[in-house]
Amino acid sequence: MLLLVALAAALGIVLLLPPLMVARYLAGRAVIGFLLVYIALLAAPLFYAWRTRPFRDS
Amino acid sequence: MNGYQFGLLLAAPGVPALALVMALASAWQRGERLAARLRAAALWAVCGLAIIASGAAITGTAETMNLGNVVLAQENTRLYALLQPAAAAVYLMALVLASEDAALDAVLGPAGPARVTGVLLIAVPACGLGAVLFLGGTAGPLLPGAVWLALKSGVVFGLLFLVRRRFASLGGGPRFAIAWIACLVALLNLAITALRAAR
Repeated sequence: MLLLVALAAALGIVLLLPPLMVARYLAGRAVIGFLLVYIALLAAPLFYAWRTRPFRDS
Repeated sequence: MNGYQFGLLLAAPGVPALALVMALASAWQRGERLAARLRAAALWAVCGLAIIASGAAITGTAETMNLGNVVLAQENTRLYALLQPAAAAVYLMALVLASEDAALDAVLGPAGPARVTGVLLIAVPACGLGAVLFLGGTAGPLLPGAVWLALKSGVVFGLLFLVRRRFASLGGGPRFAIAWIACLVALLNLAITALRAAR
């Protein structure tokens, strides 16, 4: 449990601090382009799996 | 989530720590070079996290950490470049962004035979691992497996080279922003993959 708390704290610091520091670059064209491409790539297989989901009669 | 994946998650905070220690260990002379080394450590920490998270997503999809079985799973279903396109893109972009000239200058010194050797020592295995994780590694008709692996590694290496040249002029700020977004997307992808595998 202690390990999990330490892990969560470390991940929180590691993941939240730098994005705040680089937030002023987020309005850049290249950054927004990458954000959109990443989200599209993340969503595409999920959308495909949802479209081809097996029929459940229950 | 099995024990191996939990171990990978546990390793995540270790990557920035290791990058930091490596940068500090090489900082013999204090001064302006130290800041550049710390900056390189931060960049490589982000890219390392992104690469680990995309690798963990692949182990979650294949439900194994055995690379031979990862190849078999892709033979029996689809290439993971198609099933996990976000992980594949993040893997490639992390390698591209990490090979920044300024960071290499700060830690490995000016461009020369020694630096090229050092970079290749990391880039070639990374491209091989990328070929195995996302392009099916040794799987393929007619030719022997080793030839397929070499071909696919070459494709990844060529892609890395081209994309790297395209983004060579990217400034430090946007580079960090893109790397952090890539890292967050990779972790989100890992969480989604773990949830879907557990269902």
